[in-house]
Order: sequence, then C-alpha cells, then structure tokens
Amino acid sequence: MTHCTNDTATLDRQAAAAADGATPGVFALVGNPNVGKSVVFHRLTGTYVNVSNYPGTTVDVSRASARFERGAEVLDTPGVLALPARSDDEHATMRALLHENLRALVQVGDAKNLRRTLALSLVFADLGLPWVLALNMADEARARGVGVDLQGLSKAIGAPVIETVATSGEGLQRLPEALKHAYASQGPAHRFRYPDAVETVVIQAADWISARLPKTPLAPRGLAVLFLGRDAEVERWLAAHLGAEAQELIALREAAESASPEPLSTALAQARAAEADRLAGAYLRKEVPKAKLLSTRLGRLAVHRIWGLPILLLVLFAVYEFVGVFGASFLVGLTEKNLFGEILNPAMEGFVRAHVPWQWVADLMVGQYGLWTMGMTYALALILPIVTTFFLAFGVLEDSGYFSRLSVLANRAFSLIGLNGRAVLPMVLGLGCVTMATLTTRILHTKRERVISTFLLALAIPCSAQLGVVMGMLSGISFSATLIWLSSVVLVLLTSGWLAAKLIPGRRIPLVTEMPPMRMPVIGNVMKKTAGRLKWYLVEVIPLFLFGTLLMFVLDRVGALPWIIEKGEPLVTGWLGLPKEASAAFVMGFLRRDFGATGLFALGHQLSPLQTVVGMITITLFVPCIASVMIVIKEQGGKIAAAMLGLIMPTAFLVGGIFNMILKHFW
Amino acid sequence: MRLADATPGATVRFRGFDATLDTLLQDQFLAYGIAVGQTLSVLQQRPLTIIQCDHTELAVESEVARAMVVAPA
Repeated sequence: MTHCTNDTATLDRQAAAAADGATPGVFALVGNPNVGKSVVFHRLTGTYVNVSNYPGTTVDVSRASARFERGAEVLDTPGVLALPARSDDEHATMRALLHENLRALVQVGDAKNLRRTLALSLVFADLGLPWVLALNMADEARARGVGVDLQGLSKAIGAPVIETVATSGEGLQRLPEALKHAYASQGPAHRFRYPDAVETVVIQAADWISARLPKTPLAPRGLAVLFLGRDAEVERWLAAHLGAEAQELIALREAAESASPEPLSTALAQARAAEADRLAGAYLRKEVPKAKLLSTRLGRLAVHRIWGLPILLLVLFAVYEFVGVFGASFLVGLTEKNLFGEILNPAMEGFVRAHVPWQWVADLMVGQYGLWTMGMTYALALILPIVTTFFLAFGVLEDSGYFSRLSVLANRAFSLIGLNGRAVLPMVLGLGCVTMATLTTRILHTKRERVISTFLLALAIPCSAQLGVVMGMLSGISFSATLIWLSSVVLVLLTSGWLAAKLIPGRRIPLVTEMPPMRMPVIGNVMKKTAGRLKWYLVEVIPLFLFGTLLMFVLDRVGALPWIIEKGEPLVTGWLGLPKEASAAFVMGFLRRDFGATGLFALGHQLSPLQTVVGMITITLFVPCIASVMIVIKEQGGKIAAAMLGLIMPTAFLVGGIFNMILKHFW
Repeated sequence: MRLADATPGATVRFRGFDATLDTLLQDQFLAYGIAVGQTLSVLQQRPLTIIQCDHTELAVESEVARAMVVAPA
C-alpha cells in the first residue's frame, strides 16, 4: 500500500460532502452475495425487502429513505462475487454505481471471510467515493474464533471499519459516525498499487480518461481498472460519453493485453487477491475456535452422500403434513365448511336476497358464479389458509439455508436436463410463486439455462396456492395418490427438460456454488416474509379471482359456458375421463392455474379418486397464470413465450389422458 | 494430484487450474479466495466435491474438481 493523491472528482465530491455534511444524497450498500446487505438495508430504512439465506435473492436495486439522515436514500444492490461485472446481478450493481449520484458506499462484508471481502474492497477503494466497510455477521465470526483488528485494518485501507450483526442491529448505530469520518478523510488516501507492468497501464488509462472527462461519477482510476478488466457496463458508459474516441482506450487495452502473458482481468484480480491475502494475514486475529457448531454439523449432514436423501425426504414429508394435511385439510375445513359454509355465506346470501331487488345482481353477488360465493370464498376460505401454511414452511426452509444444500443434492437430476443444481433455486421459488421465480432465473449463467428453466417453471412447477389445493384434494384420497401425482409431474419435468436440453443449442455449465452456513430460522424474519407474501397474494389474487368469477358469470348468462362445456366434452370427458362440468375449471385455469384447481376442488364430491388424480395432473401442467406469461414475455421475448404456451397446453392434456388410460387399469 | 482425487478430510494446497477450465470459472474461484498456494479442506467427494476455503464452503462438480491441481499441504 502506498500513499497517493486522490482524483479530482473524488476531491470535489468529498469536499462538497465535508463542507455540507447535511446534504442529502444516496448511499449504496454493496458487497458479496449473502453477506446481509438486505438486512442492513431493512435496519437503515425500515423497509423490508425479501431476505434469504442463499445467494442471488436481490436481483434488482431497491431504494428507500434512510432513517439516520433526513432526505437521504439508501440503495440495496445485488451481491457481486467480483468486479468487473460478469453476471446480471453484477451488471445491475455496476449500473447503480455509474448512474446514481452517490454520496458514499457502505461495503457490507462477511466478517469471517475477510480475504474475500477485502479483495472486493480494493476495487471500491479505487472508485473515489467515501466508503465504509461494515464487517457483518460478526457473531458468526466470533463463534468460529475469528476476530479482526478494526483500527489497524481501517488505517491500512484508508476507510472506517465497523463490526455489525445486522440481524440484531448490533454495531449499526456506529454507521452514521463512520460515514462522517469517511467524508472527512479527504486527504491522501491509502491506495493499492498493482504490479509495475499493470500499474503503468492503469495510470495511462486513468490519465487518458481524466484528460477527456473532467467530471466522472467514479474516479478515473476506478473506471480504468474496471475498463481494463473488461467490465461491459463501464465500457458502455465510456463509449456513450466519449464516442469514437473510446477506440483509443480500447487500443491501449489491446496493446497491454498482447504484451501480457495472461488476460489483464486475471492479472488485476490476482494482484488484488494477493494484497487481500496480505492484509487479512496482518489484521485477522485467530482466536481459539469453539467446538464444531451444531449448524455446521447439520449443514454437512444435509449434503452427506448417505444422510442427504433421507433428510430431504423427511423435509418433504414435514412440508406435506404441515401444508397438505394441516393447512389444506384441517384449516380449510374450518374456514370453508364452518366459517364460510355455515356462517358467512348464509348470512351474506340472506342479506343480499332480502335487500337487492334485481335478481341478476343478487346472482352476481351470491349465486353459483357469485363474486362472494365463488370469488371471495375461493380466495379466502380455500386458498388463503393453504398459502399461509405454505409460505410459513417455505420461509423456515429459506431462512435456514437448506435451499443451497438442495443445489448439491439435485445436481445429478438437473444434469439430465442440461442444467446444474443452481437451477433448483428458481424451481423451489416457483413453488412459492412462478412469476417471481421466473425473474430469479436471472441467477443462471447462460441464456440456454434461463430458457430451459423458464419453460419448466411454466410447464410443471405448481405455485403455492395450486400446490396447496392439489395437496388438499389428494391427501383426502391417500398418500399414494399424492405420490402418483408427484411422480407424474417429476417425469414430465425430466422428460421435457431432457428434450429441451437436446433441442436448445449450447453446452451445460458445471456447478460451482457457495453453501452459506445453516442457521436457526429467525421467527420474526419468517413472519415478516410470510406477511409480505400474503399481502402480495391478496393484492394480486383477489382481483383476478373476482374478474374470473365475473367472466364465468357472463359466460353462463350468455349461454357460452354450457356451449364450452358441451364442446369440451370429448376432450374432458372422453380423453381425460372427467365429468363434463370440469371444462369450466379449465376455462378458469386460463386465468390462474390455482383458480382452475379450486374449480376442480369445488367439484370434489363428484370426482372419483382416479378422476381427482388425473384432474390434478392436467391442471398442474396447464397454462401458467397471466402474470407469469407477462414476465416470460418480458424476460424471454414474445416469440419464445408463444412457443412455450403452444407446447404447454397440448402437453397437459396429452399427459393427463395418458395417465387416465394407464391408471384406470389399476384403480 | 487432482482435487477430485483428494481424500475427504484431507487438507491440500491449491496449485492451479488446467488451461482447459473456463477463465470465467477461474475468476470465480479467485473471487472466492482460491488462489495459488491457498490451503483447502476437502470435506467430501460425493455427491459433489465440497471444499472449505477460510470459512466459505464450496460445492464443486467433479468435472471442475478434475481440472484443479492440488498438492498435500
């Protein structure tokens, strides 16, 4: 480390900030994935964003007002494994760094992994912004016998360093003070110098940028380092501001690359890694480690070659008992039969029939396709208890860190369909909400992986509401009925995935993934997540259920529904072996698959066990909901979305019919 | 010796990558702190190779573990 003078832009910014300490601005939280940035964001702003114990949860930048300074804003950026940016998450963070008028950076790092944290710090140090390093999860570090000489490290990197435990709020009260120190340190900054050959190119590129762009959002040296490392966002920004002149800078990089024995990006990253290693060696205090933690043992058992699978089956069985039996049978029994069936619906029907003089309006409210008797009853009495139990179970697993272990266990199965175990995360999230999960496919590295995953999500992954209805119906028959349904869906998933992998060009990327520590789920966090998801459910689902009910009412009144039921009879009754009334459920399924599944649920007493299983298989594979289709169009484009939909509906009926033909010989 | 051949429970020193390994993956390992000379603990080999570097646990598919050269620490 050597002492250098700051860049002009940095001095301007720091001087302005120091002179006017109360000037509101934007603070960006940056750092590696899964280090607790979103929890820090929640603590600093009071705004809750989805927080999970696995990398890749934050796929977009979130923004909220800071609690610690009036008028200031805090940005929560997606985690970056390294900079220059390579993944979509890293691109999103880099765009925020380039395009937001940032006043300071708060790097959130993992206190127990100081070397990794510091390798990234060395990039941030060159960006010329005031910054603070918050070593988070200090409790986990202490439990592992890891301590850091905060003062020494702070002096060495030229930025305030604080220790935090964001989940409890410990240490975060020191952040505003640390930020003030960061603004004030406008003197010579301590800066890392790359090995001579690389450093010369960095200085040349920085001087070149500085001479042509007197004002830059980040210091010319930081831009130069990122540009030389082939950061596409920085390259785009420079091209936009320099036009054809940027070719000179590209020529400088090409010349340096041709003279270097390895890519410049590698040389830069290796130099930072070596310096981070040196710093960690100097300032890391290794204390006596405590005995191996229970969480560590559990984490290892969850991916053990023998115990991993039984643990997975145990987890699945527990989820089935909680959601399928307790939620979909017991709680739904209470809400649908006792609360709505015996109290609310008779009262509502009596009130409406007595006070509404127009028969058709009364029917629209409380008739067979009534907004209350169908729309609200389906949404509140049938689906709400199911999604509540599902979101609770999902939140517990998510918070524990178990999902990352699933990546390891599922890798072999996913390799059959051209993916790796990382794709299990969008698939599992799809069990919560397919729409959100489709967005999460961005964590996958290639377009090919994203297309295959999106297709499989749209085809064969039931969302929580649908899953709950399916579990509720099948648990009323037998556990083997549930197993048949599960096997059929997995078979379709693997077969269609295998075909997609054969047809879509490109090669499979092998799995390399981090496994965060297993943690005891924090009940408050699980409850907040469940409440947030239920709010989303109520806001998104109720209007659609009401619209769907209105559509059914209109179709019934104009005589179209009986016509659809009649026309659908060869397919629904002949091929699938279901009662003809099930056609109405498939019409409802166009709006939302869970709405369609609920339609079949309402026909429950008319369905034999065979018809229930076939109906559930078909509706599970039926078209994804409108919101999902919109996201698929946004992420993959109209053509791919249309091709997916064109494949999905015939597949659903084809598979349903085949299972009807096979199962009727045994049932 | 290749990482894929290391015994579970062993501590090894990382020596480098095969040139055939994708440079993006090499950069990814570097970002996790796996640089030449770094010691790694091999936790298990099946179903995937799992290594510990500092306090980071990484799961690595055997195709990649075969492209990583290590030596006994």
